[in-house]
Amino acid sequence: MRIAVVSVKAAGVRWCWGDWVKHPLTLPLIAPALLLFTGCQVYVQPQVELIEHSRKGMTMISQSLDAQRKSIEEFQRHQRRAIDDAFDTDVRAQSSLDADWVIDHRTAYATAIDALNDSRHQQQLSNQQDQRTLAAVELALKKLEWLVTLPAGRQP
Amino acid sequence: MNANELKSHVAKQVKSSWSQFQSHHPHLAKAMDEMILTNHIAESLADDPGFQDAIAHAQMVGTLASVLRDWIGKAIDQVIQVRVSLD
Repeated sequence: MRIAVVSVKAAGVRWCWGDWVKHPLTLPLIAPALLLFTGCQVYVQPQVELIEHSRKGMTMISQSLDAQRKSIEEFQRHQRRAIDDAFDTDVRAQSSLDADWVIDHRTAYATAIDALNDSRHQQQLSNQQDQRTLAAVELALKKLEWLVTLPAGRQP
Repeated sequence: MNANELKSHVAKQVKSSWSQFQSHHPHLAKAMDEMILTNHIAESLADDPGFQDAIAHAQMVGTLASVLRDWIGKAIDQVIQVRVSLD
């Protein structure tokens, strides 16, 4: 078989096709490029499964955050009831109601309610940030899945 | 002054005013908790541009302690006033 001769003059040395194939750097340089363009079927499925595992992990985190949110909301509702009951109990405990005392009582109660509302608002902001983060991770996983399956021409 | 330092100063002054407030409003004091009050006051002061200016000036002239005491004291009085003496 006649081998096509491609000669390259480099420092006065003539190279032919056979020399390129036999060169020790050829395989490490060419093989990844071949894999990239022809695909490597054996690695695609494990990668897809890894992405699926990650997706399941994200679902578990989402469920845990949801349970935590409900628990905090219940605690905050309990705190509100406790503050309201405490206000009423102190009022009933007074033998006579002094105007200054009522105003002081109302001022402290309003501060407690404001503090509780601030805490609730911070919690809502935190929840929203968590949801945005989870959505961003899910999007990244979808893109990764598309990239991984691209060389093999497979649909996820 | 960072948020934690401010909170620490507020907590000390709230503690000294708390027992009197507690004696006049026992159940509300128990439900409120010193920590809620401390956090609320510290956050209000941190958001107050007047307080920030006063602290910046006090740090320059060396009157930080007294300025802090006055501002925190006023903020606490706005929330837990005790104007009625117990019978």
